[in-house]
Amino acid sequence: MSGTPLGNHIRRLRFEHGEISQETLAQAVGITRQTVIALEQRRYAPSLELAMKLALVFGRSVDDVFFWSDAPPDLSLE
Amino acid sequence: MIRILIVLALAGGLGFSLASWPLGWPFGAGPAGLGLLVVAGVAARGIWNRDSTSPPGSPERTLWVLMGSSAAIATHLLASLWRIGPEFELNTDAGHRLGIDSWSLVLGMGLAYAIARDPNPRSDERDAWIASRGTHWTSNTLASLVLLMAVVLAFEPTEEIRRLSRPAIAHVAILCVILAWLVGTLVQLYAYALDHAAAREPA
Repeated sequence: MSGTPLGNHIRRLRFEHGEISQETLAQAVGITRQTVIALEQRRYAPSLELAMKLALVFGRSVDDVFFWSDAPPDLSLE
Repeated sequence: MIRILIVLALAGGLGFSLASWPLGWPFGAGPAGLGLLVVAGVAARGIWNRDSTSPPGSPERTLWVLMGSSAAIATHLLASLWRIGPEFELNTDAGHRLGIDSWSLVLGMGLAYAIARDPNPRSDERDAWIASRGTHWTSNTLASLVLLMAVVLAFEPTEEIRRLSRPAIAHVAILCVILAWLVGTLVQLYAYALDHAAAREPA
């Protein structure tokens, strides 16, 4: 049940969007309030579908909502 | 976490008490256990309905009922098998009593679940992720217990183990399944306990 290398701006975006509550956001994207709390505390990495729903509800791209909290892993196709 | 341990201890105590139920009492251990599990289900529903700050979600409610009931069933079975001894047979008074009591407790678990469950079930992908952690622990625990049982039966046959009847071995196998299931529910409840602790932290 450890943390995730992905950070997010969900808490800030909630406040920028009229200070919507965790419960309101949870209902908007079809999850529970506990999951919103876990996301904000970086204890859970969402599925791609949930990440895209969260980005959609804030009118942002996924990259605007989620980010690597440390340096991203060094990945290459070569 | 402390609540999990308290419920586990209470359920275990109930199981042991039912296994040492006096024979002369007007009703048997099974109906008594069934009644107590139903009362526990009603009490849990009342507590959860009054909790407006951080009430458990639908999967967590189910887990509490399963954890409490299966702990009571497991300890009752373990203590009963211990009391009856290795030469346990099905078609005896003790065998019949164990069957009636165990199935009464299973019925009590079903009734407690029906009473305490969330009337409007709601779960999401994180609940599924937590459930998968529970399944992982259940399967690993079950595999370990089965391997241990195989080794003990095959390589370390003490006099007590040699005397084990087939029904006794079968019930030990059932006990292993219940214990593995219990470990899975405990892992999931611990994950939810972390959620509740995090929800209480200031934003």
